[in-house]
Amino acid sequence: MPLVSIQNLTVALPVDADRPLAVEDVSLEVGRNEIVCIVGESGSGKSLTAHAIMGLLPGRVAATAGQILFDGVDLLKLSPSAMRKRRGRDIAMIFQDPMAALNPVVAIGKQVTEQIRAHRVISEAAALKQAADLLGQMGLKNFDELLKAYPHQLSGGQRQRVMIAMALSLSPQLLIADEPTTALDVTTQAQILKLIKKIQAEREMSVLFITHDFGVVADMADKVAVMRHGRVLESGAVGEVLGNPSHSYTRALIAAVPRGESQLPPPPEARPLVEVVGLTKRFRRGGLFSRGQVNTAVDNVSLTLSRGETLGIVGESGSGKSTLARCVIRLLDPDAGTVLLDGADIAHMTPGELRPLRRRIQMVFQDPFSSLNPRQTVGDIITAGPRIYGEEPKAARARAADILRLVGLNPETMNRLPHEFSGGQRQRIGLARALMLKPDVLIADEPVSALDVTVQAQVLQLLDDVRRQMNLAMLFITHDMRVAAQVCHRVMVMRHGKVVESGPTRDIFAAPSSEYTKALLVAIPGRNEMRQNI
Amino acid sequence: MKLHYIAMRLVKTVLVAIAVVLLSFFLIRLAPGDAATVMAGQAGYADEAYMKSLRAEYGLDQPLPVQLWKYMDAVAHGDLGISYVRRQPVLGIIMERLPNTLLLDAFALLMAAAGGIWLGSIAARRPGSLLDSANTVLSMLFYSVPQFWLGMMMMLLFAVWLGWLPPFGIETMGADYTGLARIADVSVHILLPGTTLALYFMASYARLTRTAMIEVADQDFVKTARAKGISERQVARRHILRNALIPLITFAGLQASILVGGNVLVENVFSWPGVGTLAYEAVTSRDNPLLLGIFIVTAILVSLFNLVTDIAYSIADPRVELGR
Repeated sequence: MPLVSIQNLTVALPVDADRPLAVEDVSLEVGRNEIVCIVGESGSGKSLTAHAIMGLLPGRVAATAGQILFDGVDLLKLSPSAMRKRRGRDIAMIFQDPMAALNPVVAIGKQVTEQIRAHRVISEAAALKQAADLLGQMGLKNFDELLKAYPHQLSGGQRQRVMIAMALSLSPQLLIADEPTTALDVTTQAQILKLIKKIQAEREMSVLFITHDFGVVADMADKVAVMRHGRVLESGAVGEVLGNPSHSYTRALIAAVPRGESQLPPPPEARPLVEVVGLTKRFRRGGLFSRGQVNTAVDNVSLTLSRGETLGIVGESGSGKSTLARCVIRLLDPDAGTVLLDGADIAHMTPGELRPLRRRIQMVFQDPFSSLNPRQTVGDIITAGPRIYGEEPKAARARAADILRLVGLNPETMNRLPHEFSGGQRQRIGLARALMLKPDVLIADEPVSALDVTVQAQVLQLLDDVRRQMNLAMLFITHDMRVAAQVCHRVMVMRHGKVVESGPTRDIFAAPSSEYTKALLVAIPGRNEMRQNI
Repeated sequence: MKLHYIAMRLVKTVLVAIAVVLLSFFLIRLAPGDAATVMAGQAGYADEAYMKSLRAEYGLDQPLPVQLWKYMDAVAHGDLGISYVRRQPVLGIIMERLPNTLLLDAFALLMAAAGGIWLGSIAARRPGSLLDSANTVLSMLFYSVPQFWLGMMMMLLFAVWLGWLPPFGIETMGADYTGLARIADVSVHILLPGTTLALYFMASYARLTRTAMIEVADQDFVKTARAKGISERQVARRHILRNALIPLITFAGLQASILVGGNVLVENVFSWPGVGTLAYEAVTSRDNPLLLGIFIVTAILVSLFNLVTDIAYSIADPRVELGR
């Protein structure tokens, strides 16, 4: 008998939702001592399926049909208090963002012991000792200090290890991991994935692993189930599904995962349009009376960028890549260095001198949800720039129709508001807004990291098409080596504000010269498995 | 670091006090006439010679900058001057009244916070329920009704019609209770003015608690808490309420400042012998030294409350460091 057997599970959404069912007739098994991955995009119902097992569906969402058999007992039929006793003891869960998942005002030790003491009669001191033990098993050091620390004092990786320690504190039979590495840097992700795999094997535990990333599936799973629109499209052993996917959607998902191999030829030799020399940006903390700390976010960075070329700036969080982009577009004033656009130093111009040049460098932002004014129509948003530069509203709207067509949107959508669009469509609107100003340079700051993988592939393709058609110079900021490989001619790897190495994408992927770049490449999930299979 | 920060804040408090002295010193003197006119009026007769001697006695005949300098010098030495009307040291008069005001304020603050947080957390448990709506309506009512009117109505109901509570004062005149009997007597007297003040703020606490709890309940760590298998009550108390209370600290500090400087009306309605009634007397009798003294003491108290608020905040929320 499998440990978990979900049979014909249906989860209904509230009446005012955009669709009646979030999960429809889903059947799924998790055997003992195995890792099962549910893979799908946003809205696929993968996360709600996991929450249904935990008995933690949000307020107005309810399981309306089916069974969730756990060791033969139907969890859906348990009373709230009986379910509560199983939560944390028999089934434990870890979440996507460990910063948000830990209580910010309670010390780490207390948060771990709370779970132990909810199910066992044990003194706080004994529970603390057990907690220290668990943190040690998770590869954490100095756990006496850690137990007294608060979540904000830990790194992202440490926090997720604490979450895992907490989840394992009562040796549950099933661990549910809901996108546990999505919010982490790629090298940290690799460590956490390895850790989960290791403890699963040691404890012979069952793991249900929710992810959107087929690379992670390839690394982790024994079995995989592909979900879309609340249904399971196909499931089976991981080698089978990856190697011989039966459903076209699965094939599309797998194809959409960037390969991490450069497809673009080295850039054409050309006179650089943008030349950045010795750029440095420091941030100071502290007030009137206190001497502040200085943090050098960008440290003596130089780069060149020509028309028709895409330069990728790759780095983990805190590497200074976004600060660099903001200095180049002069949203921030650099502390040292020059930014030459066609030979003119825009880093040291007065606001008045700079204004006519602003339109030549445009930016596409990471979050398509917060970067568009929710109260303006799409037409108003994308024609605002040209109107400020004196273009006739009528002419601007006529041009806007062309640009919308170019980015793959229907011009008739111009009178709609941003919330009526999906994430990918909004990112197209953001791109249209930038293109309306006929820029020479386009800065794309993590333009696809908030998007589902299939949408990601479309937007990357679009960016590349637009770059070619309009002969743009593109600065592409990303944390994802796989994405960089797909669209960039050259790559510059940054860490702690400094350039670690740079060169043609092909060379960097084939023969990275720095240890850090090697580590980044090794950390790409599913790198070997995906290559073998496809 | 922390001590350094607190010392700096105390220096700022002194600067604030100096600014208050300067500002109020000139503001008060913008009004026509001076204290000599008032005193002469009270004396019932006045001729030029008497007025002149009064002005000489209180230094009112000297140029304004000299008056200011003398006053500042005295304040720096802890001397707030002599009240024109009572002919007693100002500091002594204020210090006699201040404990009464602080007692009333503390009562109102605790009652408002306890009641408001309780009501707010009930409302947050079921947003949109009948209880929640009733809570909202009552909150708006107490928030919008003028305090002095509410005070008078409370007095009418509980003191005049029902006769349950004494209508005014801080203790029964002439009873000369001591020990526990006195505490009991004051406790009965504080109920009406204290509740009048508290109801207004209680409404705000209830609204703030409700909003904060609903917001916090949506956060991931609450889901984590449930996933641990702890009881709903513990989830609500340890995780939701604990985080929702943090913004309330700011509000409590604000309330303390408003109370100490601004409950003139309610103190007067209930003849509470505090700084508020004293300020009223000082204004009507043109007792400038007394009024200035009240300004200074209040300003220092408000600065101290702000400092205490910031320290409390840094204790309640480990993410906040003092001085950052």
